Amino acid sequence: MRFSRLVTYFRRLEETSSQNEMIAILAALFTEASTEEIDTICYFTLGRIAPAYQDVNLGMGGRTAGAAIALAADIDPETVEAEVREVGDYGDAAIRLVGRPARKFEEVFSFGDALSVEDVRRGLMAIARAGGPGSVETKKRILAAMVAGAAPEERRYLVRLVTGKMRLGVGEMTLLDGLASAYLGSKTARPPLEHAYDICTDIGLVAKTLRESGLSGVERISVSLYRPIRPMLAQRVPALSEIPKRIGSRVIAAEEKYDGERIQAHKDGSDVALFSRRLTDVTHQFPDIVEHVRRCVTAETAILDGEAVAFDVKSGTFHPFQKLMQRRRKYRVSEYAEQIPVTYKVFDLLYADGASYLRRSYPERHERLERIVVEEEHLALADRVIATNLEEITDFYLACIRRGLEGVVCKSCADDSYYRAGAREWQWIKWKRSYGTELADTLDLVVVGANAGKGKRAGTYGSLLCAAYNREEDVFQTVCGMGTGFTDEELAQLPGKLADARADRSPARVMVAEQAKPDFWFVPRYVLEVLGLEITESPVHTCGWDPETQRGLALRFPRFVRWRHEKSPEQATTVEEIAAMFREQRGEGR
Amino acid sequence: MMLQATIDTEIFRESIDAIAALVTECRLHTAEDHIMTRAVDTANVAMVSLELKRDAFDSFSASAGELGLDIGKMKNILGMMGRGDTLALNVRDDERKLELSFKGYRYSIALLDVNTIRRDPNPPTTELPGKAVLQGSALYDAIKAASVISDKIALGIDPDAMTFYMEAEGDTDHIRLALGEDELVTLHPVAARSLFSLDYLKDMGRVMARAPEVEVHLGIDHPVRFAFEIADGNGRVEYLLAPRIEAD
Repeated sequence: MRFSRLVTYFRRLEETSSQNEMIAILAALFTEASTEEIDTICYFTLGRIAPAYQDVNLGMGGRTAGAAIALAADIDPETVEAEVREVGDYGDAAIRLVGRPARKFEEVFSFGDALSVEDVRRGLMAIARAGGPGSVETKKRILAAMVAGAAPEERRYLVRLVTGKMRLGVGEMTLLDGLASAYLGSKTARPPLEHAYDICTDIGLVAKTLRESGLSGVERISVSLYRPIRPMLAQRVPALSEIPKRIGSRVIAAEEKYDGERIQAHKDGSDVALFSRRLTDVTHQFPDIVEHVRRCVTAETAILDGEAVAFDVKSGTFHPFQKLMQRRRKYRVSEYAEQIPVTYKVFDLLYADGASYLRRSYPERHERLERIVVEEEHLALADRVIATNLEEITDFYLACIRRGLEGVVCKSCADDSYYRAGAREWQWIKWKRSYGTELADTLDLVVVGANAGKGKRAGTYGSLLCAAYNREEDVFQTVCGMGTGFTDEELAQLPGKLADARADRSPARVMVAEQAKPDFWFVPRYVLEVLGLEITESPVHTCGWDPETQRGLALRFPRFVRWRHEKSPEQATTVEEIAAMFREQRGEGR
Repeated sequence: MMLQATIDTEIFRESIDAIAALVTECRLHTAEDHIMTRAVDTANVAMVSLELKRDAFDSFSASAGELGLDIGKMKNILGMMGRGDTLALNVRDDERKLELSFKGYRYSIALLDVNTIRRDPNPPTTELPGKAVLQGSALYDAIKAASVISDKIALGIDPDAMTFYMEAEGDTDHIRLALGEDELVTLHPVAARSLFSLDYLKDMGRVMARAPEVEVHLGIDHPVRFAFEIADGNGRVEYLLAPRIEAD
């Protein structure tokens, strides 16, 4: 296809504001495109040169493009910049400037008709290939040569392609709609194309395969080394307690969630390639991960999904994301690799020893993953628990939070828990600390009661009844019974610690509902810090009691953090504060 | 071998000069029986095309291909060559180097990546009905005369007077030269007149001055095409120059 022809389609795509019309234009374009060029046409339409994972980088900014236009137009670069400021776009500036220096001459030469899509692709690849000393000049000259030889409309899109400003408004899914419409009769036939795209992440390959071998060819597209797979994503829920309802599996694996960078590692013998979540090749940025994968993964070939985290081995804490991002660099890579060593936390397996694992269940994938990874300090499997009830998940979640992690990702262990490339479905659900606003703050609560411990906790307390302070009425109203978060030692010391606050009956200013009456009473004296999951309405606790609904407020899944000896009971978190948190929680619709 | 040939240095010199009048680099196409190039200057105002047949060379063997020539560099090397020397040209298939040997010198110069050179223009299809043929030196003299008073020149054919004429207008001065049938080799008397930049014509004129006969093809507000032979009729050069827009 001639580039000029493609450009007429670009023009039409740019001008329409109707999605359906856009799909119709794309369908016409794809019907006209030949097998050899349909992939390139897809990339160009999306404003790209090649699939993201190929890491084709033109290395040309606006300024260099401007200099190329200046060269082609035989004028100085400042004139180009001035024109760009006026028309707002290098592509439009190219149309106005090139070929008509000072508009003194008729335009009599034509080049445009001969420029094919393939010519443009080759030219752009030559720009991308140019490297080393003098490469900026070479890139500039190639673009200048192309721009000078192009017809006016072609110049616009050529320059926009180079400067990354295509702005046709065509998204990937719309493009797939167009393909489906062209070759499968209707855009409703998109899902298999989308699925193939998720696996191969090369929209051009999907198009080419569809053009060449039809739907059955597309359905055969499979995992391939060095071609990243679109990562599976996790859903969100408004409350942690909803996870078991939505996930569709009785058994749930809760994995640590990191504030790091998602990395997909491809291992092929001793070769390792790394891809970011955006599917760009980041191999050179993490030479340490490359080394770890090479050493710790025993399978000959494998594709792993995981997260790069900056972990401080000495202090046992995770560095924030910003610190990790310093590793995203072109220069002084190894120096920073030493300064900020990265740990690769692996949590999934997509391919091993020549076989795709996408259509295997999560337990199967994980089992195999465990067998091919030899854990070391800087390459380890993500910690997880396998749970069948919310309590275990919550415990694990709170433990994660305490260790400075972001939260948890809960994963279905059902038979159909496949790796759904590119999908955000309910098989994976994430729960992050920041989702519950109340979790940003811990509560300081007053111990007003305790229940006797049983079994392992015989001889000490099984849980403490905790209360918030109602300033208005100057009373203490219960919010939760708390039995987790204590070390064995802390647990053993509880009776001694609280001994001088013991009371034989319900002390004054302590409001406890009938159902919450504890085995032991304490006068409000000791304050402790509590981390909780969320605030809910409860008929058991008296905090912010509403006589009409017969309900108070309760803290769900409270967890002991530490004693606050410096605080008096009246300095504890107030009922008003908790009510405000509850309103906020609801107000945000979470 | 993509190209293996020997050629008289003078023929090579006039070929390179013809190209150098407009561009500093070009894509040279090699074929079994000729080499040719067609290039437009950076401002898209003028085009040169040049073809040398096999017979223009003392010996010639080539396969189809495309070479990126740095014309500026070639001009410098030409300065080293004497009259009457024979020049050997060699380009191996797999190398991006041109070897030039003469008088014991052997230059190996890097060829340009053809991607860095703008593509060939389409062969121009403009119909130019008027035609005059005259001595190259007469043409160049007229161009020089006009450039003394102006930066543009009108070229035209007056069918009534049966003349090919040139006219230039400065701020205060005016010059006109009309050549009748006696001073021309041939004339197709079709009315024509267009305005051209002397900047371009001077560079082209210098090359054309050496040609015994130059064909001038003209229309009304159309480009001008100059055509002449080199290498004893075994080569041909054409220049096409876009007209200036008079109202500006």
